[in-house]
Amino acid sequence: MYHGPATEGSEDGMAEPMKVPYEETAEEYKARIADLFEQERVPGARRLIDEALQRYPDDPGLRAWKKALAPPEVRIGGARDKDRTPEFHWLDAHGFQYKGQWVAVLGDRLLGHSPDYGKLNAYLDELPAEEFPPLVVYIQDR
Amino acid sequence: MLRLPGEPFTQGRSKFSDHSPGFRELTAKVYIQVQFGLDRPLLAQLDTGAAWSVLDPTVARRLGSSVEWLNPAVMGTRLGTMSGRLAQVPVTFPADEGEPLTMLGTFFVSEHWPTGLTFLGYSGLLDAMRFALDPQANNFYFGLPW
Repeated sequence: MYHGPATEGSEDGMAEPMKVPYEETAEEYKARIADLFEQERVPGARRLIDEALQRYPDDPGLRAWKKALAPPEVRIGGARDKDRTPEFHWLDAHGFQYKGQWVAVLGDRLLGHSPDYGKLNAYLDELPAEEFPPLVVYIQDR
Repeated sequence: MLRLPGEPFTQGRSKFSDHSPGFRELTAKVYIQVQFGLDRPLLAQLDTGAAWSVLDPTVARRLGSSVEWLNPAVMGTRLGTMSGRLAQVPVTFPADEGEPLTMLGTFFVSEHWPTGLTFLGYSGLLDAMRFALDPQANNFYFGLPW
């Protein structure tokens, strides 16, 4: 009895188990990486990304995961700031009056406040520049 | 300043608040100054127990093209499971002593996340730098990694 190539060479006509190598697709890799991300399993996610990129080096989604999970490069640079202790004191003394709002404080002065972060910044953009920018803080309401 | 093999342990320092400003909480928390892009400095909660950082979506919107949007993602948070997107955002730790530090940090951004809350978590941000706290003086020290 002949059943096809799987039984060729088999005396009893029983099929030999076939080993089919399984190649994970890029989409399957991405789903697994997303699961590991959600489970906060960072080292495992990073290892899986490296494995996936060996097979699919040009996949934009995998490359984005690589970028997202890689430790960033750090450099010295950016704006010099001032000691914000006076701003913290102002917030402790007066912040409760602005619950649910963004406040902009410079030293012991309130420059502006709004529940809308964008509107507050637009208002601040119109003010004359000072040596240091205000500290912008959202006052929790619960 | 601690020096290890001749090099300073950290490069910069800023003051931190040990409670949510204007809002008295029962437990201490650490709020440090950060600057996103060229925007004005904000306070963000330092959370070394969180795997990832979360950026207030209103802040992300204002940053516009400074934000590089990456993959969609789902994250379990203390406010429940949320869908959002990962993003790389330029972050500066301003220094009132020493030198500021800048990096492209990875943040989770969700439109479901409440306004005013930004968390600095471990992976993709704090794991790239050195930092230390002086709780008696409310000083946050930060520096380049080895």
